[in-house]
Amino acid sequence: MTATNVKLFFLVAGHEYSEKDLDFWKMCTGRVRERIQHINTTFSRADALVSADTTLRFIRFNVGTGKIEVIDRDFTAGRGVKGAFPRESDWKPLSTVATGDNFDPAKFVSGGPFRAISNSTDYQPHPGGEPTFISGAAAADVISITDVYRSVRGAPPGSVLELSFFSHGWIEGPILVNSSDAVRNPNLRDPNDKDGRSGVDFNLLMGEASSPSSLLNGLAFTAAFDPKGAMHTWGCNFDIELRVVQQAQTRIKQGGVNDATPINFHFEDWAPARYTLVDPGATFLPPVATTVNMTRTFGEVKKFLRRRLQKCYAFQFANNMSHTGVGALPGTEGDDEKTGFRMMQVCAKFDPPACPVGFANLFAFYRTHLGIKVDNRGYGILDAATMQKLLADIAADGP
Amino acid sequence: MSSNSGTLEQIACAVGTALAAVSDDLLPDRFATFLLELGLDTLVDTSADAVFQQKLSAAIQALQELFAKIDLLDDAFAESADASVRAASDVLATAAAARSSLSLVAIDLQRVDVSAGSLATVLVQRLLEYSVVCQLERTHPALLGVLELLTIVERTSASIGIGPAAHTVLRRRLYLDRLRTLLADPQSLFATGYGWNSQTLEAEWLLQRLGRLLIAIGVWAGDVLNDAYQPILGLDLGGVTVGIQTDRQPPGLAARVTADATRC
Repeated sequence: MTATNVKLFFLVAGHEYSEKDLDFWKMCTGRVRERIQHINTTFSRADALVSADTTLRFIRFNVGTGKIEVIDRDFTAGRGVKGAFPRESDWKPLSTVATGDNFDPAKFVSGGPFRAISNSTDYQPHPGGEPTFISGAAAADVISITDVYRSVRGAPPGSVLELSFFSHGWIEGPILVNSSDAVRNPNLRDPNDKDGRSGVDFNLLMGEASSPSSLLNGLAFTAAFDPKGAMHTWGCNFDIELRVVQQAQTRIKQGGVNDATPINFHFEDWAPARYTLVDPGATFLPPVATTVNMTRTFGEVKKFLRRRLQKCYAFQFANNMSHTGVGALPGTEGDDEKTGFRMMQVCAKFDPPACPVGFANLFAFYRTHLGIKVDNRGYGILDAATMQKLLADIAADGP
Repeated sequence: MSSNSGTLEQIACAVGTALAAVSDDLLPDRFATFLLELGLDTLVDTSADAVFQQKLSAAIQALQELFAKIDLLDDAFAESADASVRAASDVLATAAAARSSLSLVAIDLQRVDVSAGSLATVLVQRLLEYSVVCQLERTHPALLGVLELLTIVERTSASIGIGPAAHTVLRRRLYLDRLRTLLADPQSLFATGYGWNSQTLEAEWLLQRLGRLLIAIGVWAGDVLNDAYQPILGLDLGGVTVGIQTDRQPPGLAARVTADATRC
């Protein structure tokens, strides 16, 4: 059976350039299994992701191998999905779909051809640090995040249920190859840059140069999503916010804190080196790394965290594309799951080997003081209601 | 598999899926680490042994045949009750055949590497335990949390080797024999598993498993941190901290309200 109703899941696996040896492509397969199980166990609910006969089309962009592949599964109303546990070998070339209709990936997925990445020739090593991707003409045939965006934009309106990025990450978004933005233009993407850039990716032109067709980029992208569709970035968003929240919580536990309460902060180890990168204008953090102590009110702490949230990839997606954005909250990291579907998670509690660090305290802080909830894997949910409150708080510029 | 299907079909589907999923773990890029997870204490490379690889491939194929049988079971359920019972039996028979293939792998593992001998004798048993626990992780994490707290399931971290070649893996064990004790004398499970009601309370294990259970049911149990923000023994449940009370004998759990209730 091929249903006339088709829903798309774009699953993007970043390239593993670090020594962590993470198999992001396998996590995509885990996500397919998890989504099918979710659909099979919830299809009779009022808020089911799908309820009518539907072809579920999972499209995986494997940036490391340059392959774009597909798994199709048919959902039958009242019965669910057969073949609920796809294998790695079930990923097929896009050409196997061959329906020729608007849902045929051949019609809307960037064709490339794309090549595999070589860790030895495509990267500049940095002893003691992460290798950086060598951008330029020689890497033009490596999958970029703009190829993903272009593919989503080409999908039929209302068809995309999910856009997921399994990769390393930071506040600006998914790191698909660890390239650089050499242009640093507040409106345009660097054409050689292949990673997510929260500041420009979700503007009207999606960071592209102005042209009659690019004017519709943002509109086409948001229109491609189903009303229940969401973007999920699974990588890290770790930085100095962790220490800020932890020290604020220590003070809160002593009692009597309100927005005007001064809180003393002390930063050491890696934290002072992050000041100028996190807060270039020194609006909250000290201007120089030699200053390790500061005092700020609790209200200023909340304003700082809201400003950081505003810079996040998931926030920018939710704000500009009007669909739910899900991602690690500032100060937290995504780790590879060693159990279950073996995707990624933001761990609640230290529990090796799966959880090298726990962030339940940060979840509680964000929920209580900024009104942001996390999903069952610890990722912040920036849905319409949460965004409305956050944007109102930001506009009020209060504590 | 529809939630309306019968008990036999549900069991066959769960058993079949649990076992079939293990085929991922037998693949070449995973198998060496998988043996460590099953209990081996040294890394064994079987990739150069053609005979063993052949047996491994046969086991993978046998396990993957389950996927097709489960699909047929799904079709049969829509067809008729008789057909679905037949298909369920077929799944269970295929699972039994897959188990036989795994036994051949276990026997041959002893030939490939002498150091793997002790694991080889229990390999199939461990693998079945692993498959059940992994299936619970995917489908019933809360039930798994309960079973783990009751010590029916154990998931422990094990570090193998030293230096850059070190591996830290998660080992999963299932102790079905303890179910009998659970029914007859549940307190003794806690006494044996955690030293409950004795001077040697295994507080770290107890709190780790309690934490896992709470997280599985949606309660964010976090770390209690010291002044250097490193986790210490205890669970932070927001306004309440659960830790160990040692000022009375035998030691036990104690909860303490820690947070100011003021909402800022």
